[in-house]
Amino acid sequence: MGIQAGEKGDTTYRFKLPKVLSYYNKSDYTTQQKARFIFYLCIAAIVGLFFLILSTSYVQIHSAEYDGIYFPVILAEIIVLILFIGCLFLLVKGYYNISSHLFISSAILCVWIVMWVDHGEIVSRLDTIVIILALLNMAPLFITKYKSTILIYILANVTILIVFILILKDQIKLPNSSIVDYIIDTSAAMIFTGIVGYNIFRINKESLEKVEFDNKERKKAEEALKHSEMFRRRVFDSSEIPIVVMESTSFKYIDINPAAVKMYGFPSHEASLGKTPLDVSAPVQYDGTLSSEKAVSYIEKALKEGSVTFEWLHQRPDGEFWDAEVHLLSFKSDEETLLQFSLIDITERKKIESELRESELRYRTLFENAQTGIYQTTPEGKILQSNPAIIKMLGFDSLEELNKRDLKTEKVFVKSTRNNFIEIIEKQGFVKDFEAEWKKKNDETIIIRENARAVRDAEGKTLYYEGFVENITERKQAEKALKESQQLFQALAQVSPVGIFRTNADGYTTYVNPKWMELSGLTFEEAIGDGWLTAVHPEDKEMLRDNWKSHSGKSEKSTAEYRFIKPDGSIVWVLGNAEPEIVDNKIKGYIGTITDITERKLAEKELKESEEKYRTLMESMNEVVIMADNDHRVKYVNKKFTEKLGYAPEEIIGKIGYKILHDTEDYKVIEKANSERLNKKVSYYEVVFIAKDGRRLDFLVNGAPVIDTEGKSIGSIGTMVDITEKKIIEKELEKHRNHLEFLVKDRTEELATSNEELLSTNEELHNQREELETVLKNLQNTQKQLVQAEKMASLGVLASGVAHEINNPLNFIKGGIFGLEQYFDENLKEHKNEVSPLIEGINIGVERAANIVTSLNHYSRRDDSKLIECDIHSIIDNCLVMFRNQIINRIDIKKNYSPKMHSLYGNEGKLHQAMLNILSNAVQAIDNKGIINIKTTVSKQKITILVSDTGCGISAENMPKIFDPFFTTKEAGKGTGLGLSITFNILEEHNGTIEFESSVGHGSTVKITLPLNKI
Amino acid sequence: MMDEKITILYVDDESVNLKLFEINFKKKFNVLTAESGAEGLEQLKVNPHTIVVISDMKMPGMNGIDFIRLAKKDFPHIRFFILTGFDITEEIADALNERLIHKYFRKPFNMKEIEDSILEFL
Repeated sequence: MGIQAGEKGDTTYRFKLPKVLSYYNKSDYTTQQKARFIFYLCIAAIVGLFFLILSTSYVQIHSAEYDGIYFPVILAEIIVLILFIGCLFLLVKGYYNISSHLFISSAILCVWIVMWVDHGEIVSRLDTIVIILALLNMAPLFITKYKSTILIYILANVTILIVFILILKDQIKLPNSSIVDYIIDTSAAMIFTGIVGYNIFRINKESLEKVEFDNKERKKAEEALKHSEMFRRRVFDSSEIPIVVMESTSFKYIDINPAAVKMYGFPSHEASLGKTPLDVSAPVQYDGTLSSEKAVSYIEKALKEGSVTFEWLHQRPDGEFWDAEVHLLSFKSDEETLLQFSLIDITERKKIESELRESELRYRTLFENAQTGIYQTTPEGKILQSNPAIIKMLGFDSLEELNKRDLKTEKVFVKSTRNNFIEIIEKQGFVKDFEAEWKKKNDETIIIRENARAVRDAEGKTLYYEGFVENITERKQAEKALKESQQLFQALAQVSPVGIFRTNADGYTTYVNPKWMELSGLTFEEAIGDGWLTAVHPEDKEMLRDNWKSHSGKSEKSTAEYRFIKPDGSIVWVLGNAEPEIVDNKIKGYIGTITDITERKLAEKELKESEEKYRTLMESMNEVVIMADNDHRVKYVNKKFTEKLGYAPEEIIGKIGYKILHDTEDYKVIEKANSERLNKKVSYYEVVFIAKDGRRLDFLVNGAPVIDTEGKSIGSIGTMVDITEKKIIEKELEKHRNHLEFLVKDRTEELATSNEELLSTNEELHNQREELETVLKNLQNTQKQLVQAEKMASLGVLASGVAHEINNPLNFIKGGIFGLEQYFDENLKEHKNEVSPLIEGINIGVERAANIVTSLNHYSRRDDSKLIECDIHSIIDNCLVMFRNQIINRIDIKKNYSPKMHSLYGNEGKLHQAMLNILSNAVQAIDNKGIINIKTTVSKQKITILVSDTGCGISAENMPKIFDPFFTTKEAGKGTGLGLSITFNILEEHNGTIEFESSVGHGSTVKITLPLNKI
Repeated sequence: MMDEKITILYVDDESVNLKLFEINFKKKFNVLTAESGAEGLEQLKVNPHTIVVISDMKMPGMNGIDFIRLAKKDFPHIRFFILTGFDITEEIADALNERLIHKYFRKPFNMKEIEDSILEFL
């Protein structure tokens, strides 16, 4: 209300100032009031004073008391009038303060001057002071600023009063007490008037100031408020940032700034109001959710948390999509919750991000799928990046596994090429086609080629190396193989026994080897290009050139036989072979060989000549010649054959010859004769041939085999002479000859028989001599033991023969005596007692002889019983058991067996027999009491058995004979003398040895060694 | 008499042996003899009722095993024995393993052993 009053005060309550006071139109309200008051007062005073002057003048002229006009009074009044007019003038001119003070001062002065100069009665004069009081009361009306001015006026008037009274006291003629009383009373009245005026002025002024201040404050506040609202509105409207306010329930837009309208693509502000977020959004957001759902979730979040920032995919009415970052916040306005959001267009940013992402994806794909290895490593050897190609190249399963590798310490780089690599890359900033050897996970070495550069920071410090790696192992190997293959070709070509040449695709010679040069007599330079043709024999040149020209450019092999003429005039026949070299289905050139076939050519020529010669010979021969193969098919007949037998060659060749040419009964003769050819035998026989016209002709046939180069018989050739005539004569002679022949035949047979006998005897003798020679040779070459062994071996053959021969007569005796015994039993019982001892004697004799023979059999017998693992200790123990009766209480057996394990393969039965013989000798050597020590020692390869007895010993004389068969020191019938020789044989069979040491009277020691693990 | 005694054939190139064998066994068996394998085969053909054959090993021409091998073909029911002056040989061992011969006897012969072996078979 105050604001409105203040506002309207300027217009409604401003009073109208007199026109002359227009100067004060801009002054404050109080000043205007005061000015108007002073203005009217002045006018009133001037008018009043004018009439006063007139009245006074009239009085003085017409009153008796005055002698005419009393000028001092009139003059004072006229001066005051003039002063008042001056005041009015000053007031109109705007000097309000001067005008007002001049007016009141002149009024007061006027009073006092009148009083001074008045000659009236005292009372009338003193009463004038009342006018002073009235004038002083006026003071608050014209004083504007300084209220103390009132007090100055009071003090000045009090002073004038006192001075006036003191000066006029004589004139007044009043007692002093009345004068003092008057002064005090009047002064008090003036002072009181002054105090009242002062306070009225003060209260009035301060109230006005207060009102004015309040009014100003309020105005100021109103101004400020007005200013702020406008500012906000202006900011909202002029903001470049799109801002939208919407309802929190209906989501309708209730305010939207121009930037938002523009960004949304709406035609106007009005068209935008009432829209909802769905009108500006794409149907589906980035993550695939519906915009409606997503919007609700964001709004709920904003309502709950105050604000939320998110990215939103928008769509303009024209369908264009755009992206914005949305800052959504909720706020309260007049108890209503509203939502406001600002938008930042991030379409460009999104686009760049998306492009960046796509670009990265592209490079990532490239990186992941490249066949070339791509890496980043630090100079310290840490692997920052490496693509699958490298991981695969090095045989790792994953990057993590590869990363565990320390390039510096681990030997990824063979031959310390990592240092080499770093040296180059640090110096140049890059490496190009750098080849190195890397080690794979499985320690296999691969050869790689890399191109890399050092990536440095601004200060030039290397951050990392990045590069591309290619596995060139296979290429390298292929290069190496190619090189080797080329070297091999060179080497082979250098030493090749055949000439080698190479040409380009046009047939121009590019290479020849030394052998080629040797064969052609040309130098390398001469042979190159077409030069080789110069060495070719003139007769062959044309053929060869044509042949070569027709083949070049074609992918087929070509061969040719031709001659070279060497500079020395000699001719060399060669067989040339050329084959195209095809690379990628294109003929790159030809490679070929030439082989020296001069000898073959010569041989062919000779053969041809020889064949010609023989053909001529055969055709002109006087004998009939016929050739047949192994199946009796005729291969050739000569001219004479046709003459004699009437068959043309074509009538007989290819047919079974004998079926046409002979009688059936002669077939066998011919077949037999021909079959002898297979054994390469030559034979003569006579046979009857039947000519084409049926004539029978006797022929003497000389059949010979036809042998091919491999020495095989491929048929037969018969040279035949017609002996038909001769036969007739022969038959005549034969009769006479028969008798003689018989005699000769008989005699011949006799001689043949005796000759045969002689031959067989001779052969036998020869064989025997050879055997003896062999034996003798062996005997000479062997040691004593070997001599013994040979003796035993030959004895074995002898013994088995002897055994058989003796067994038969023994059989006679045994059978005979058995028969006799039976006979006596049946027919001559009374002689039984006498005959019995005789029979017994014979039986014992036969028995003993049979035993010897059985023993002899051991020499020949190669027992086929299998070799088994034998324990020599248990064999010895078994044998000892058999001697128990002979040992007990007589001989002390001391055994010292080796505890070592041993494995001996042998014939257990024979080893038993051998040990039995040794032990038996030891036991029998001891007459009375004694000791037998048995000791075995086992070494790696053999077992040694020592059997020593304290028996009678063997004399030095007997020592060499102990292994001889039938040598014995025992009494007749107690020993066969074969024990040790059999033992010797058994041990020999087992590759063992036996040695004897003995001294007569002290005993003998037998040392047997047997090899282990084998026979 | 002929019907009660079994017939055995003895083959040996030594006629003395043949004679003695015949004398010693004639009371118990009907003894046939042959001086060679070939003759032995002839004998068997003529006397198919023979059920035991004893043959020497070493003979001119066919040896004992060769003879027995031939004879066994035609007369599988006969039991064959070898009577040899040798110790056992590989050939004899093989013949034993093949069951070509039943047993082998050693010379000088032991009448009792031979007789027992024949009787055992019967």
